[in-house]
Amino acid sequence: MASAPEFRDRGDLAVEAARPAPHRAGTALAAALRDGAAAMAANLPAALFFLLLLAAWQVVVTARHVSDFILPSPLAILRTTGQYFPLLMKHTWTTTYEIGIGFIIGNAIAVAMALLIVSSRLAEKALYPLLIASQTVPKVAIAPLFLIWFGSGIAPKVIITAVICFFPTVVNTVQGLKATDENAIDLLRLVAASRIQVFTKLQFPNALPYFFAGLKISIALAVIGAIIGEWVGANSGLGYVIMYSTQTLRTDFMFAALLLISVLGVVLYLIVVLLERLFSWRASDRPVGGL
Amino acid sequence: MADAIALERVGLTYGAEGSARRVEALRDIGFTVGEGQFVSIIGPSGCGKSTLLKIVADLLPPSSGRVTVFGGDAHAARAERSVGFVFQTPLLFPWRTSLDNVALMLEVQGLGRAERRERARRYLDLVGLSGFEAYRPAELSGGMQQRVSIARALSFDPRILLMDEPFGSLDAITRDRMGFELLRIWERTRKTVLLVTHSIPEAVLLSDTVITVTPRPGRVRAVHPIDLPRPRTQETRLSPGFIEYSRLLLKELEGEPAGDEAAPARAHGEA
Repeated sequence: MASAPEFRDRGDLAVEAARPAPHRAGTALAAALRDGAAAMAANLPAALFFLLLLAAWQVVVTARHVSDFILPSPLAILRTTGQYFPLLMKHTWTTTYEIGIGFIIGNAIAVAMALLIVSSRLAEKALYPLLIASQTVPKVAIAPLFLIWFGSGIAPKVIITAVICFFPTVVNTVQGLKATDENAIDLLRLVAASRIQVFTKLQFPNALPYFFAGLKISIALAVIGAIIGEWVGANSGLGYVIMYSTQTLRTDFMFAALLLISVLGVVLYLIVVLLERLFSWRASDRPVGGL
Repeated sequence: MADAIALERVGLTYGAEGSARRVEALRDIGFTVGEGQFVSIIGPSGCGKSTLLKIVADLLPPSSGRVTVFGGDAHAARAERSVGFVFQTPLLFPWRTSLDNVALMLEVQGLGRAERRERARRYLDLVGLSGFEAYRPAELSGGMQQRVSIARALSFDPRILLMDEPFGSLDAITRDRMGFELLRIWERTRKTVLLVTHSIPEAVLLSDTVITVTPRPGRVRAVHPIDLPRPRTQETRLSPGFIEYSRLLLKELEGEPAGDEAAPARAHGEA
């Protein structure tokens, strides 16, 4: 950047100005859609290859007469999905609901914890090491415990989801809040900014890209959390469908559930990406202090 | 002429007493800067020049000595928002447009939206960036970013402008142009400017006075009034006087014995 020409041609700059900028209200959504379309075009080779794999799968299963309970063909999976669609949607909704609540609770706690950690040295020393150590405990293994403590309703699934998904948000948000350039704080001190102003004008917006980076990992983990919660004990939800179909050897049903979990995961991830586009500047714009 | 800035035996030592990592960054720094003057501090890297600016701005307390700004102490000066600061990097907030970056300081002061935007627009115009109000830092070149940061430093109308190698990260051509740009701005605003630089031509071209500083611990080595006519232009750089001053400073900075053995400051203070 340092060697960039001082005054580029104005026309050139005007083109740059027309680039999608996430903050210009109203255009953010359009920009996200446009980027989405561009991403789709860029991923065309991957999509084609995926279709090729599916075709190969179909051919092998049909030609070798593989039994449906070992490996159903893609078309058979689609058929099952279509046939039981309303029922599957009911289960999908249960899982989505658990993910949503668990994700919100987990991340609310995560943000509160991050704020506590950066605002108090004592809290940081007392909390942070334990927090990181806690990640060595396999949460899948403690899921049954939650079942004992919180019964078989929605509560244990939500709690497991929250416990699994909160960690990346805490770590990223703490890092983001701490990533403030000392000189930028000095700059604000020149006009006698209060601590609250330093936070609202500098630290908070500066941390947003980090926060959303954490949130993107968090949403992927939240899906896993809800499924694990359902595995341990449930009578509805896609995790429950997987358990049920294992026991009844309805492998096509299991694949249908897997398909819906994948779709759900992608949709939820894209929602977080959209939120990021709407509320955060992009880290690719370089953090404060960078040249 | 009244003194805008006066330093008396200012010293700064990092690290606790007796600690192995105790470093004396500055020792017995003394000089004055008259109101409306353009003074440069030049010295090898690591001589504590940047630290010195932070002390003048009351962003860092000195270990010893006294800093006076317009007759009062440095803290009072900062509380009265008398000090503008341009850092080495533009330090723009990437989520804000140029206009909002310049308006930031006024926003912190609690100025109304319309007024701060109007003032920010005026200062962007002063640094030659009208038309770029809606641009984000990432859309501007390095030189333009530093212009925005100069506009931001001037936005709250401080009486003193402290500049810490503001053009250090720019390429040579841009750097030259920014130097003349700074002269133009200075001639229009008549702020007191204290500039830290490691470029001899830049110091000679811009300044009324050049102060050379020794390496660790930083001490004033000499104070050189630069007696070249203003306004200074490209022609100035080719004049015999300019070359003579440059040669003098180069010799002085090159023939620098290291550290504590440095020769005592020849002129201690009178700027």
